[in-house]
Order: sequence, then structure tokens, then C-alpha cells
Amino acid sequence: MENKETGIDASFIPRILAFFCSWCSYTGSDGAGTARLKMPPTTTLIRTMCSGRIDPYFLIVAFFRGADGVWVSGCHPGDCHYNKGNYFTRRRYAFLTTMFDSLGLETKRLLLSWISASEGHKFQHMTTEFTNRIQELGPNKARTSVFL
Amino acid sequence: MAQHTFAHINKGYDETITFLLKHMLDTGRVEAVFCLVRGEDNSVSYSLISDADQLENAVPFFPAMPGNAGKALSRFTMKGASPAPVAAVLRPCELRAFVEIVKREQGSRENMILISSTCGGVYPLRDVTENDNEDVIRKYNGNLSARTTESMTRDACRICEKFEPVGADITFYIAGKTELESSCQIMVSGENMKEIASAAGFTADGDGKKGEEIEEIRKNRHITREQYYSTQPMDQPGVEGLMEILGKCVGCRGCSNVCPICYCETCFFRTAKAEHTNFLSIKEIEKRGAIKLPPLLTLFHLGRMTHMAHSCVGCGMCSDVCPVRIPVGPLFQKVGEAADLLFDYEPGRNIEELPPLSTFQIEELETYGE
Amino acid sequence: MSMPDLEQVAGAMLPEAETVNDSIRDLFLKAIENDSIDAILIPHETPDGDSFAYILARDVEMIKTGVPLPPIMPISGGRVLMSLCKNGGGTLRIAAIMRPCEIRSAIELSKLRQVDLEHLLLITMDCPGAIPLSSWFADQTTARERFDALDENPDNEHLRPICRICDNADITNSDLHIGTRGLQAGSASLIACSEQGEQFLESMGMNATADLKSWRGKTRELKSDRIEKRKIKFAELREDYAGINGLSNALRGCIGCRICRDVCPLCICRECYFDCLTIQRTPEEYLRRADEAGFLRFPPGNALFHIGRMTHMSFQCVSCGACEDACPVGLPVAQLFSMVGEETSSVFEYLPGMDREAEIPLNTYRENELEELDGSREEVAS
Repeated sequence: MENKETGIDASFIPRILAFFCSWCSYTGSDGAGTARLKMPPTTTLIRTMCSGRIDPYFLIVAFFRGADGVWVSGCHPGDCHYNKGNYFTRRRYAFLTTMFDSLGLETKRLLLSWISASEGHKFQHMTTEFTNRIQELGPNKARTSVFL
Repeated sequence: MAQHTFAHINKGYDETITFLLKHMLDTGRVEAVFCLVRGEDNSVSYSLISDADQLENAVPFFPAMPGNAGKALSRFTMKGASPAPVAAVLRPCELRAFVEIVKREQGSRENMILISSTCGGVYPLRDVTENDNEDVIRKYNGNLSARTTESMTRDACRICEKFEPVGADITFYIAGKTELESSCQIMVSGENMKEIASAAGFTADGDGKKGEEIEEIRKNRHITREQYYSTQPMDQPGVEGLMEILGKCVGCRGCSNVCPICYCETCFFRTAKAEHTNFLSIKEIEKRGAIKLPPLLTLFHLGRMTHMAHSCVGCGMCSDVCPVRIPVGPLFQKVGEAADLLFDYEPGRNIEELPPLSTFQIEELETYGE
Repeated sequence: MSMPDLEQVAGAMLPEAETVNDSIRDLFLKAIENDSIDAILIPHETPDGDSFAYILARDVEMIKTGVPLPPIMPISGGRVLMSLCKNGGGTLRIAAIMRPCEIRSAIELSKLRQVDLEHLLLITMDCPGAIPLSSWFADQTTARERFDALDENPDNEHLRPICRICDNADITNSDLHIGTRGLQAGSASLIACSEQGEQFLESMGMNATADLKSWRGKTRELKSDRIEKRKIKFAELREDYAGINGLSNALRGCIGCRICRDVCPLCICRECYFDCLTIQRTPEEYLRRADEAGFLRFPPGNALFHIGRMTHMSFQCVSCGACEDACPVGLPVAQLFSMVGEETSSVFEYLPGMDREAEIPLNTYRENELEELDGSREEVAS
């Protein structure tokens, strides 16, 4: 049901798929849980040892199989548990958003963040912000495409 | 930095290249020559020629590309560098492809003398398989002299701004030139090549330099390129536009088969992991109403882009072979161009330069990552 | 399970609609409503309007706009079924409508364990043939007109060459066959070719009592006409492609793209032998070979690829023609492979895509067979 003023579909609950590195980001998100921080329950986390494990293909699969938002998070550059994994993550993500942009696909549905193990609040904040952003964008059209 | 020397020759480019190749073979400077050859049945294909007599069938600059020669040379040098000097005649895109392939350790440039030319484009593959292609050659010189893109019939060529080869040992400047049947200009790079050129009887042209036709051609190609990409659905495809472009894909993988950069013996997109069988559930069919089969071919194309679009050389072989006429080449070029801008990378310009996704810098891309 | 017999099969008339295709769509919608079927596999126009692709559908609108037998065949239905049934198939009950050659490829694929026939209801119909992809993409309007005109002139130069000699345009080992030949314009019969087909008719409340006499007559006629044409054509091809020169001529211009193999419903190997590194050689070897004849076509091995592929699948070739349609340089691959396939399969008295129980000839043996090949026997004439 679309709100006539804002155009936002209030019955639409964003589904966000997030790929988080185990050492920093996932631990940080865990911290948010322990501290009972409140945030919309829209994000499903997939844990990889390093954000450098994340193949841009995962993000493409997530997007076209219908995730409304796709989120990658790792350790801050310079702090990667495996020294350089996240430098590649940064390159791959930059490449993917550029690719999406040139293909007219909504880059706002992609997010890259650096969340450390102690940044539970950052995780809470970003989950809320990203959810709101996706809420405004509405459901991903790829959710209902036939010829993909 | 290689030293470039120009020479002006009073013979047509066709005659000159054949003469040069014959000279190199006859004098033993090369063990074999690699170029296009026209068979008795008029079909055109690449050949590795070791007998100078066979050169009478050679058509080095024939306006056809039965495959990306860079890929063929990669095949030649896959299991090791050529043991003896071999001269190969390539188009600029084929040369770029070979450089990109060698970077990925799928071939070797060692002992290869690479000869190229400024390129006026080739004809669509389907158009040059006719029995009688005498006409083709006659028409071609006229098209070659033209600096506009009107006479070009192959999309990948019409929108190509990289028609001037980079890194060739000998470059023929022929696109946009007149009197192609009686004269040509060549550029020789490096001392080694200078020696070969003078042994062949070419005299250095002290005042020689590139003509203004290069810039003019590039300008015209640029305009055509912009026009092409401003038409739907190429312009900002989005999910719906992508369905329009890729929706009829049958999943034959012909595009990646002929792509010079796609070298994987077992392509990821042919493995079980890429099959997504759990996608075909009642739930998914109800959600979408229907699902096209084979499913998720968009993932193949976009995934392949993440693997090689940044190294796409725009040769257009993919579009040539697509059974359902999807403009794969221009689509991949669009993404590749954007990626190359991001990383300040150019496929084929420097054999030492690593592909952008194989490396990183500690301080870079600061705007990415919140 | 044996082969359905043209003379014995029975069917019901489909309720009439504006066109035969409409009757078929109505049938499908009813089957879903009835819960006899979970989803329909049917071709549909692609978003750009330029081609057709199979869709697996439950949605009424999508089924209503499906096109049972489109003018072109960009992909063999066998390959499409493969994508459904990889890794063990599923539990969805699917009714698939496709051309007879596609059904036959599905049956061959089930023997190769690439398609699971258990939950599939295979439906085919009288096929007028298909227009070559190259004609279609050159001028869609004309191609469409030509396709529509095929009813009046079934043997038509605008058809794909392989269609013109198709002697399997009658009845196949599908579950159901929609017969239109020889019947009143706009009417179609739904004929059961298997137990599953009979059960389907029952579940839809249809009685298999239609008068199929004229359909049988016309079908018999077409089949014998095509058998004759096929014999003549193959004799021609045998001559044209005889020997090294003949074969080279047939394959002239081959660029080694492997698309023929990639669209072939029988070629299923994830890693084809002809692409593996094992058969690639060192530059020394290539130069040596170039020395022998003075030149070496590059990359080498095109003819080897084709002949090798023949040894792998020619006896299973169902003559669908997907290879020739997809070939970017228009080689007569389907005609060549069909001609060879006819010979190789007949050595084993094997009819590709027919009997679901018949084993793939090179995957089995009988202890006493092919004795005529034994060169040591005295009876063998010198």
C-alpha cells in the first residue's frame, strides 16, 4: 500500500543480505546484540572469514535473486586480520558499484562498510540507515523479473 | 621507451606486408609467420606459415576476423615461449588481447615480432563467408580510406576508438590514408626492428610522423560511439533494460568461448556451483509468475563482467558469434570502460601493468567504504 | 515401455477456441486449476520482442501469452529440461510442450541421466518445421509470414534444411501429442502416447474417442514423403562430403567457436575433451607441424573436433538442427552429423530418442553381436 505523500510502500519490508568478515564486522554486530541495541530486523548476515573472500559474484547473485539491499563489511583498511584482504574488497566493491552504475542498476542498494569488533553502535546505526534507504527505494525489481 | 622510426614505401600496404613477411622468412630472421590466409575454397583463416611459397595465399590485412588472433597466439605459446622468432600480423584489438593474455601467464611475447596496423574495421563474420570474396577486398580499400564510420558495417568496429595499435614492433599506418594501392607509411619500434626494416630495403623517413587522419578518425569514432550508447536499451538499462538485452540469451557460452580474455579451462559458469538449482521452486515461480529457462543467465553475463570486463579489448567476437544477436561486445565494453576509468587502466597498453583487480594500493578509493 | 503406434493411439478433441494455440493455452490453464500440473514449460516472446525463450509458468497472463511452437528454435527444449533437472530433478509436476525433436533429445538425455522424466509430462504437436535463425534475425516480418504459410505448403524452401528431411514429424515417445494435420482448421486432438498421457486425459475428464482417421492418413503421407526425401538428401550429402576434401569443404570457414557443441542437447560434458589442455601442444610441436606441410592452420584441430564429436554423440543425434542454426558461419553441421548419425546408429539398430528403455549403444554390449566385423572369420569375403 503506497503512502500517497511519501510514495513509500508501508507494507514493504526490506530484505537485506549482508556479507560480514568474521574477525571485525561480525564480532561488531554480535556486540550490538549483546548490548541489546535496537534496530530493524531486516538484515540477514552471512559470515566469511575475511571480507576478501567475498566474490563480487555473491553480490550479483544476491541482487538478482531478490535481495533489496546488499551489504559488505570488513575490518578497517590497514587492520585486516589477514593483512590485505580488505584492500581487495575495496577494489572489488568499487568495481562492482561502477559496473552497476554503468548498467543503470541502483547503486544505492549496495553498501560497503568498515566495522570493527568494538563498533556495535556503528552496526546499529548503519543497519537503521541502510534499511531506511532501501525502504525509500522500494522493492528490488529483480525480485519479480521473469527473464533473468 | 622504444624508439620509433617512420618509413614511407612506394608500394601498396598489401604488397609491402607480404614482401616484408617473405623477406623475414627467406633470410631466416623468423622461423614462421602467423597471419590470415585465403584457402582455395576462399575461406579465410589464420595460419602458421613456415614455407615462404605458401605466402602467395596470405592476406594479412583481410577485413575479417575469424577469431581473435591474440587468443590463437596464446594457444601457440601456452606451453612455452616460441623457441624461434615468429612474426605475427594482428589487428590492434588482437594485439591488446595478446598483451592482456600474456599478463595472465597464458602465453608469451618472447621471440614474437608483432606487426599491426591502424584499423579501418572488419566486416561482420557472417558477411565474409560467401564463396566469392573478391568484391570484399575491392570495396575495402575505399572503406579503409574513409575517415568516417558510414561505410563500417560491424558495430564493434564502428564504435572503436582504439584503432591505433600500441606496442607493436612494426605498425602500418593505413586507416584514413589515400592511394592505398601505391603507397604506405610504416612505423618501426626499437633498434632490432630498425635493423630488419633496413635489411628489407625500407629507408627511414627522418621527418616522418603520424598524420592528422588519426585524430580525425578518432573524433568520428567517438561520435558514433556516443550515439550508439545513447540509444535504448544501452542507455541506462536498469533491471528492465538488462532483461531486454539479455533476456533472449540461450546460455550457449559462445561469447566466452571466443573471448580472448576468457581462458579458464573450466569456466566457473559451467560448474555445478553456478547452476542455482534451488532457485526453481514453487515459491519462486509464484513470486515471479514465471521463470525463464535456462535460469539466471544474467548472472553468467554479469559474473563474467566481474572477471574480465576491465580487460575487454572491444574485439567484438562475442557479438559476432551470438546465435541470438545479443550485442555482448558493446555491453561489456560499456562496463569495461567505466571500470578502466575508475582504475586508470587501459587493456593492452602496458604488458607490465597488472590487471586492476589483481592488485591494490594502500591509499586509494577513499570514497568507498563507510 | 514400447513405442506408441500411430495406428493404435487414441485421443480427445481439444475444446475449440479462436486458434489452436489458444486451445492449448486453455488446456494448460485448466490443468493448473485442476491441480493436475504444477507448472507449464512453454516458449514465450522475449522482452525485446526479437526472440523466444522457454518459461516455467504458473501465472495466467504468462501462460496466455505463451507460444507453443514458435517460428524459430533458438534453443533445444532438451537443454532447457536439463537446466530443470540437474542434481537429481525435483518434485514439481511439469507439463512441457515442445517440438518432436526436442522431445527426442529429452529422452536421450534421460538415458544420460541429465533429465528426470518422472515428473515431466512431455507434450508435442504436429510440427511444421522451423525458420532458420539467420532468416529470422535478418527480417522478422518476412520470416513470420513464411512460418504462417507453412500450413499450406509443408515442404518449403524457407524451412531449415534439417526440417525439410525430418522423418519424425509424426509421433514420438512423448506422453501426449497434439494432432492438427488433416483436421478441420482450428481444431486439434490431444492424443495419449503413454500411460501418463492416458492418466492426464482422465484427470482432465477427457474421453479418448476422437476420430483420428484423417490425421493418421495425413501423417502417414507426410512421413513416407519425408523418409524418401531424407534418403535422397543423405545420398547427396554422402557424395558431397566424401573423403578428406569433401569433409574440408563441408567445414570450410569453421572458426572453432564450439557453439555447435554448446547448443547440442546431447553434448553435456562440463569440460569437453576437445578443450582440455592435454590436447594442446608446445610451440615446438606446432612449428614442426607447420614445417611438414609448409603451413599449419591455426588453431589446429577443427576437423578433429568435429569428427571426435561425431564419435561421441552421432549415434544419439536427433537431428534437431540446433547446431546448424547457431553456427556463426552457417556450416551445414546438422546435415553432416545427421547423415553420419544415421549410419552409426543403424549399426546398432538404434533409433535415437524413440524407445525410452533402449540403451545407448556404446554404453552396453551383447556377447554375441556384430560378428560380421570379426576380421578373422573365414566367411568374411576377401
